[in-house]
Amino acid sequence: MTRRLTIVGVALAALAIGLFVLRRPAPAIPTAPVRTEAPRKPARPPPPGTHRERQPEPKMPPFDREGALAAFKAAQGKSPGEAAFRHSVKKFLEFNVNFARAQAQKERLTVAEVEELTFFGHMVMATQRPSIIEEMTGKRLSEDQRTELGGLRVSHNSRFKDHLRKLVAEGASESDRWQAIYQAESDYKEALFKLTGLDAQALDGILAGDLAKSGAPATATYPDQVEPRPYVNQDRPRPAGPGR
Amino acid sequence: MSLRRLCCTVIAILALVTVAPSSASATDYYVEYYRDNLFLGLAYHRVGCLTDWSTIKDGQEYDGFTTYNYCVSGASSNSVPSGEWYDWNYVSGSTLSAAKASLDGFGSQTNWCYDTPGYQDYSNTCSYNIATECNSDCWIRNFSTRQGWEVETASGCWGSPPRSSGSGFTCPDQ
Repeated sequence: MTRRLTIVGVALAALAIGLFVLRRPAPAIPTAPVRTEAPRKPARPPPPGTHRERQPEPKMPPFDREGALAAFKAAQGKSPGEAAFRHSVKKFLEFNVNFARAQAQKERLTVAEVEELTFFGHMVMATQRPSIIEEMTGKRLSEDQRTELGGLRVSHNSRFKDHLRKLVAEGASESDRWQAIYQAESDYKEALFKLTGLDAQALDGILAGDLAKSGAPATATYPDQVEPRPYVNQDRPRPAGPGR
Repeated sequence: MSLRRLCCTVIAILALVTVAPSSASATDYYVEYYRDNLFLGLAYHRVGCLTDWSTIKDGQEYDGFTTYNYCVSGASSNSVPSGEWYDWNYVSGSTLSAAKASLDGFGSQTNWCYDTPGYQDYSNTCSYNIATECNSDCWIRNFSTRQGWEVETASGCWGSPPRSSGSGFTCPDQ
């Protein structure tokens, strides 16, 4: 009887192991180190427990210097907030240089353009916070203005992306693309100022951040660059924009 | 019960447990994540909505540092403005109210960590900065990690959330 039970036990264990192996998900296919395309939404959600592949992400280097403050001071009063904010974007791009290269390749732009567009996108996000705008202007935004503020981002973003992609598709020169970028930045600021009552100085204050809090772009410390910025030399110098 | 019958029963149970394909039931809820690429740069705003995979079930956005209305209850889950679908996870709770309570709980914890009560558009403690821990990418990374599946972001999130712990939970850096 004991022997029969042992045999049955072993058989059951072997069966369970066999079934587990058969059911194990297939080995993951190696993916490219950086993906800029959004994944396609499955028609139906995968069953619970389905293996999901993680995308590689940048790792966090240690803190050790205060470049933003230097950029803020180096601006010598000429848009110091923007200078510090741009510095934070530069650090962000250095840290994510492979992502920047992939994005440039995807959109058939230069990495320098991607850096400027990243500044543009984050500058817009920094101006999408009604509470901060109210603090800077001292005026309360109406519900309609708040809604319209969000609409500004959506409409300018959508229109600009269509326009720049069209220029790329038509083979526009890099210089023409830069002009389109600067024009879009200028158009957004103009619409923002008109809607909210902000002006260039107040915008610069928003970009500098709240100096009373930790991590303001004007006073933040960032890690040393984790790799050099070879793309800066690879890319032709950008043409000067309006007011630069 | 004979030994043979016992064996058959055990095998049947094992087979059911191990092989039966688990499938989503009609009452499953999900958090679906969308990202809005800003101006073709390396900048995104990311947001999570509670859905049943086809329809947004609640108007609460799970995102930080903006008050823009992305999730419209009753709208198609593809209706998120400028939103590219990019990730998802199951939400615990077999009823809508339980699922919402679950996500709201994680949202509250994340709001605590970033000092953004009520999903307000700024932190009371840290200054918005794309290159530190004080931005919407880091907010949603923290939220999604709490919720059970950390979504991809392209942010280093240097530093730590402004608060290190709350009541019964921690705010660790990911």
